[in-house]
Amino acid sequence: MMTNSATIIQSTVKEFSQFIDFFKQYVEPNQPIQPQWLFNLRRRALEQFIDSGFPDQNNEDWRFTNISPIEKLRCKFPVKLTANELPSDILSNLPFSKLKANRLVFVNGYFIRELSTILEQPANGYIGSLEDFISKDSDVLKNIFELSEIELTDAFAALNTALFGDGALILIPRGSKLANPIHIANIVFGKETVVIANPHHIIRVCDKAALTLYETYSGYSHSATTFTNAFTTISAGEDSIVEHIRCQTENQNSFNIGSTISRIGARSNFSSHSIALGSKIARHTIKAKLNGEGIESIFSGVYIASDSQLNDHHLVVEHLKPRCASHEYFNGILSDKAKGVFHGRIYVHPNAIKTDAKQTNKNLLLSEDAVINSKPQLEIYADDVKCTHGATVGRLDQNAIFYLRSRAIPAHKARQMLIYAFASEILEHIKDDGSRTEIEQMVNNWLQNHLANI
Amino acid sequence: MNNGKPILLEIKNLHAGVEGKKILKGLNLVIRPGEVHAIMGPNGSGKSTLSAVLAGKPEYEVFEGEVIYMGKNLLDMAPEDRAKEGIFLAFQYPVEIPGVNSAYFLKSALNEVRKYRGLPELDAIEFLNLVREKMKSLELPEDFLKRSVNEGFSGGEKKKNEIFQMIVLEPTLAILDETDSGLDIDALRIVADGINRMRSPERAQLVITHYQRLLNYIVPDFVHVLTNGQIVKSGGKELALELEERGYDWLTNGIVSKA
Repeated sequence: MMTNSATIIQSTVKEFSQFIDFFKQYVEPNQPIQPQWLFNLRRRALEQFIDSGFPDQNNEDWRFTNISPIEKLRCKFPVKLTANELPSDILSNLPFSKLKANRLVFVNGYFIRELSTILEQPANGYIGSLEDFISKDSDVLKNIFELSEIELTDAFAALNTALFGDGALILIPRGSKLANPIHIANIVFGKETVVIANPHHIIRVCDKAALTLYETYSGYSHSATTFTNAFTTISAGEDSIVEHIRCQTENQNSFNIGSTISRIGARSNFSSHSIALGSKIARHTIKAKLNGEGIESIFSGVYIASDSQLNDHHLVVEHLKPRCASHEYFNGILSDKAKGVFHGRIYVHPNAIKTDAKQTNKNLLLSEDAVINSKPQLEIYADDVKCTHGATVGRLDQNAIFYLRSRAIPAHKARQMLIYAFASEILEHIKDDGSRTEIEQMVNNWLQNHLANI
Repeated sequence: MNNGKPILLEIKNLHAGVEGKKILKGLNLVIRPGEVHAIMGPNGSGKSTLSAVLAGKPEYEVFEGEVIYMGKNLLDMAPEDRAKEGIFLAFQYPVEIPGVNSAYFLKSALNEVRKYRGLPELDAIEFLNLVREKMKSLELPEDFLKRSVNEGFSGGEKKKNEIFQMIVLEPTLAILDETDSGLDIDALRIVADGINRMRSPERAQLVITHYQRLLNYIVPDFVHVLTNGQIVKSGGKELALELEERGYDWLTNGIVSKA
């Protein structure tokens, strides 16, 4: 394998040559300051990526999402910029920027210390940059990487692992609870050339600890074409409480592919909310393993797309142990020629008895040309389980619109009220008031901008 | 029918229907401020079509005739503009709107009307102060405003909600479409009290009903019998009692033999 790798990397597979160049130019020279085990992992990831290539639509997991526009991108590998080299209003489009939080700001995948605010640093824990930690304690990090579930068979995860510049590392020690949420703020900053950002975030919440985590993906320019390829792993310990709010608002020329891979421990309370409004093509892969008894989990999401945006949520929840609940609620709002994709797979392993899994995916089509591909999938190998799923596609209720209009509410406002209600039934699952309020405002703004004249 | 006041609503030779089907076939009606009119008729006579056309339900079509409301061509107006001008339809089947909070809905509606009337908009506290007393008079539950519009309401609660909205929005012309249907006797009395409280020399009410029962509580000035898309007989409140006794057949047959 090792000898093979050198030859593969030396060969010039045309379509991947830019990524191989990036690896040679930016990753290899860092070898002296990064441990051998990490370099080996990254080289293996690159090989794996070259082997598998980008997925095409024959791949069942990508059947409805054509990523050839991403394949055709000629990218520029970003360099780490200092705060002085960035526009002074670089945070102007950043969601949640007014909420009090331990804020880690990443621009094009690099940690920007001057823009970050770390309000609290837990004893025996860590909140900061992955790169900084490598020089501090390589062994601990090695252990963390070995436990984190990077599936190198996933081409984008492999590419991220090969090329990442930095990311957040968050270690919340046993029994700890922070006074404030943590905000991983990913900002993509591109101009004429197509910048590729590969943030790689690792979050470990130990037993009996609690964390509210904001993870945002936003841009600076309203028009620059950019490519964010993000990877996040979360490990939630036993009896932990984790709420993860991920919000993606990049501009409509951007591409955003990301994974959130979670492993959840017994008796914990885990909730994950994915809000997606941005990008030309966006895909969020959410994989969770319920790896202990008595877990209560919620996975919710709202995707809103207009023009020719494509938004894909790919959800896989695995029940490995008895008596766990996973409730999944995803609503999509699609207008113009937008396309939504939802794949929701619930896999109940043989000994996961008394599983309580339910999934709903509701879609609101606001135009004739909007499309949704919804694919629920239950695989149950245990007895005595309760699993349900339901997917719906519909249009606005004309009787409800008339009812509102008959009460003096203008037609466009009536539509907005109904669409907002459709989104807000999902947002109600967010326990964190600050982020929920801001997301509600975002949805309202979207409605104002897109439906004011109808 | 002239109480010396200007005409509030005049329906002239109205032909209307839905999905290409003609249901109203030359309906005429004049309503002046301060009057309560009852329209009675058997099923399928066009009662609900009339209320839908007056409120501006989009799928209903007008083939012929006109409707003048306060000197304006009502049929040219969007439903929301009719509401702003003071027309209110209490729905026979109020629509459930999941996710839209009742307080937010009604405050939005009231502020649209107030804006149009040149009144300042109310904030949440002013709104609550205004509606609390009105809610109590209709014996609506405390948590009512926090619930989604009509969602999971009983039949009686839905009808009470219609009347509640009417009392808050204070329309000039209220059209009550089969408001009595599905109400028990206690709820009927509460609803009727609410409607009667709205009576004033400036306002008018058009009560559409199949049964005479509601008219024991809401005493109309005029009763009209609608059959086969036309008003075939008009009279005072005693006409309702006659209909209760004799049914509609004698009037329907009259039309048939005349034709």
